[in-house]
Amino acid sequence: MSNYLVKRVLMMIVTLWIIVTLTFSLMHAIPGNPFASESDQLPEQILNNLRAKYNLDQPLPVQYVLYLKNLLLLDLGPSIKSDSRGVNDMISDGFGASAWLGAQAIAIALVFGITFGIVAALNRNKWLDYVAMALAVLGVAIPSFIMAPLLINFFAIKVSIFPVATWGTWMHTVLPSLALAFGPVAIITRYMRASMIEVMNQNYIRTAEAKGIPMFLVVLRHGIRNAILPVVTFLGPLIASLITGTFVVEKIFAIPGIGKYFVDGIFNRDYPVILGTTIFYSAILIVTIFLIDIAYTLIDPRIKLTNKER
Amino acid sequence: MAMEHRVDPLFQPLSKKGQANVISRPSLSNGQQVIRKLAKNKLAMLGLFIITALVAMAIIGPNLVPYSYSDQSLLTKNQEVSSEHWFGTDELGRDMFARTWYGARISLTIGVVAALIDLVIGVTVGGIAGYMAGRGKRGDRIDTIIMRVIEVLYGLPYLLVVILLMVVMEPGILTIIIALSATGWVGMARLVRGQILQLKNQEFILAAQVLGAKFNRILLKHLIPNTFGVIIVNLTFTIPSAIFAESFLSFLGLGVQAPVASWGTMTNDALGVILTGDWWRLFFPALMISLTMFAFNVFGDGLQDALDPRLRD
Amino acid sequence: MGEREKMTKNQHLLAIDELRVNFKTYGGEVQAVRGVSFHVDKGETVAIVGESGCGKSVTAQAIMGLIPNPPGKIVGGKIVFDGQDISGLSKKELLGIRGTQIGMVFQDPMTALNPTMKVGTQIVEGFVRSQKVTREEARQRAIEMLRLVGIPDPEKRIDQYPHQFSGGMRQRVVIAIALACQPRLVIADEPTTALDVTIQAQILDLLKRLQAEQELSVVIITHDLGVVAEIAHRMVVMYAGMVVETGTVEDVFANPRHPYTWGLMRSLPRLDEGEKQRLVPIDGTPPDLFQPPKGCPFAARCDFAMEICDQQMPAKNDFGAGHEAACWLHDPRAPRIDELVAAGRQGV
Repeated sequence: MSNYLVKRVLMMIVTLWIIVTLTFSLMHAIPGNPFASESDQLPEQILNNLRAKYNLDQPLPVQYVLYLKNLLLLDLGPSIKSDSRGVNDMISDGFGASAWLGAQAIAIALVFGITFGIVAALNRNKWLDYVAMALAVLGVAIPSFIMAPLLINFFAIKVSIFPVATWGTWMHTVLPSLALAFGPVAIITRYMRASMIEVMNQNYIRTAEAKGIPMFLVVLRHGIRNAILPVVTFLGPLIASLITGTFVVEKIFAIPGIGKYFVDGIFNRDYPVILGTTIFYSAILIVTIFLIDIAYTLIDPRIKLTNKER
Repeated sequence: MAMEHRVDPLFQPLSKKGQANVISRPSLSNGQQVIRKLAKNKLAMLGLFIITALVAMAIIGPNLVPYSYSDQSLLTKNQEVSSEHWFGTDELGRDMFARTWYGARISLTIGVVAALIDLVIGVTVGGIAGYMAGRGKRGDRIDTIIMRVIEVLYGLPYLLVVILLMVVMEPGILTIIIALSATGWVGMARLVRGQILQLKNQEFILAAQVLGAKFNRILLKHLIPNTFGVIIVNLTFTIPSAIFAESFLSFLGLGVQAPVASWGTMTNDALGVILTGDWWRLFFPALMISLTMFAFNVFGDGLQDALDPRLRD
Repeated sequence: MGEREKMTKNQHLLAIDELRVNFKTYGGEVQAVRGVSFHVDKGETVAIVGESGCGKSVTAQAIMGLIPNPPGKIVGGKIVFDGQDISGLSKKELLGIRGTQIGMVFQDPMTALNPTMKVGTQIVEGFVRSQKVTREEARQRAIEMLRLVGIPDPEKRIDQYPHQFSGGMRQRVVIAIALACQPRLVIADEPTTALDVTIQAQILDLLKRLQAEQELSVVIITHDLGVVAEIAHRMVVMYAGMVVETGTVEDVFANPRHPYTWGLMRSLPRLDEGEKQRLVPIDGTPPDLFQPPKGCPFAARCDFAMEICDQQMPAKNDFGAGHEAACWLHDPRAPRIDELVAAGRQGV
């Protein structure tokens, strides 16, 4: 068990290192220099100073080692375009909003997705099933960057329940969370429905029914618990898609989250910011998948944490 | 046997032995069954119809109006839907109808080409890995290396990788396709490898080998019909996801660059006017993206069901 | 309903009368059970025998009200348990029957247990529900049940999960679940089919012992005549959704009256015939139950089929002591069948 954990943590570090290296090389493979837009206006001396400040005057391997060294100290380096604030400041600024948004979206996706999936499976080929499946198809068909303007148009402009954009009160979080969660709700509904249908056809459901316990207990104790397992494995890709979802949702709603800094970084070609946020996202994702694996062993007694790969 | 004392004809031995109670149901070939079942699925047929209609409009749509997608006219800017401009105009007076169907060309082309490249790379890599697995130490090592690469790529958020690649490359149709295909093939490769491994472990393959059939021949003979369906189904899902990725990129400004239009760039352009009530700016490109996603997904679902022998009658 | 019929019903713990069950499928309606009648008395073991698809499992599920609906549906007949017709009971009313009155042992112990629930919890789940007991009492009951079905170290075992049990041990757990609420009737659907031969014998011995100790009535469903001979008092031979022969095990084994039963006997190895004997399979396959034949369903595979077999359903012939067979060969108009019967019994 502890042996497994140690091995697993080492694997996580190696994976992160590979991602850092790949992203670092990618960002430095770009032709030209990051000050291209300024080079016309700035004197040569200042440009050289700037290069020195960002270690750009060093050979690439040296820059790489310096970057890794700073990374070990949890320093993601400075931003090129915003001279006063480093990538760390941006992430700590944006983390609150992004994390809140993401957590709320995950909660919505899980609660509604799992409920819809169960209801659809138990009412298979009846109207409730068709409603849930129609919703699931819409969720797949309408991307978040279309859902967001639709929600704004309806709930903020036509019916002024929620603010149009920006961040502040809890009311501000509702529309972006919904926009972000809409697709995942659809996907979880489909997963949960399929899984629940399969589980409800298992022999142990017959056994439970034959005991004379009421159907809702059969569903609750024997159905849902087993059906939810495949959904847990889907949480990794779900978080990944939520992360990319925040890019557009935070942009549309003008939310000062990490996603917005990332997108701004892309527009400004602010490579340290892109690099830093990518590493941050990857770390979050890797840790999440690790936690999900541990959670999985808690739900499914058949799986033990061992050195064997799943 | 003492039968002669009775003459009741009903109690004569049954003459047409073996024919009694013979029930014949028409037997259909596998392909016929799949097509028949698919044709019965109304939702899947609706999807197919929408796909056909979208493709047809992408081809002829821009030619139906006397404007080009890039013709600007300040006199006719921000016009609502009318008999002049069927889908209205944008803030530069460009005809939205022409732009929407021109955008369809771009979006559909990118989606289909990227999905086909994914298919070729995925089938090749997955095929090599699946074939090599279990073929001696060297074969296993090749499989392991490929699987490690696939695992790392699979673990990364697809869109994040695509965005990073687009940051580095000059935006354009070709680079979008390259970026989408760079990691998009991974799903197909996993699928094909899994199919081959599954097939290799089947007892009938072993039985055929024992009977002296050539391993590669049996593998190929059973692999193609068994895997073909799965690959086609996968393709019907990778096309819309590539189209989605393209519109996502274009929406972020990393996709095709003006004056070239895609549904994603048009949606992005419309964001600025969402408060002014120019609904047609958002409605048409958004509708087309959603219709495409819807059509491919329901068609893919229907195809998957039709190919699933467990769901057959 | 005649007086006589009413009397008979009161005597039997379970009486099934002309049961019909249909399943709706893509290809049409399958008539899985087509007018099955038999009864089970107190303390009696009745075996239902037949090949796969003959409707024996569906009959068992119908008794428990476990036919998945849709696609399945009881379309006719009665299931009288302890004087009450339970075939039309609501889901809620069935809860009072399942577990506490009738317990069920399923075929495949590998899949009959919930993989994510502790074995002890699964055993007493129904008991806790019906008796309203405390946790400690439930625990004691689970231990008691495991001990009853012969699982060593029950105090430790109740807190384990199914994957920590072997196949035979799991089947013992499944039996413990069926018996946990002290039902009066246990239906065992192929309880030994999925097990190794040595384990099969152990499970049969266990069932036999429990049946005697608890004065249970047992319906055992099997395709294995060896199991029938081992455990049952009476047997019901089913073919294509119908009962073709029924009687005490002794009578049927000694004097099988239906050509299908002859076929079953001939496909069974016998100890008294030495090494040279040949097992004779029954050629052909059962009829399609989408469109069942209007005559005897076995006619197409029967060596003795006559014209009438193809056209009319045979009536039941009573041979005394509850031994009945549905076959035209026993009609007075049929050719003399003594020789045929004798030939059939000896394995032509």
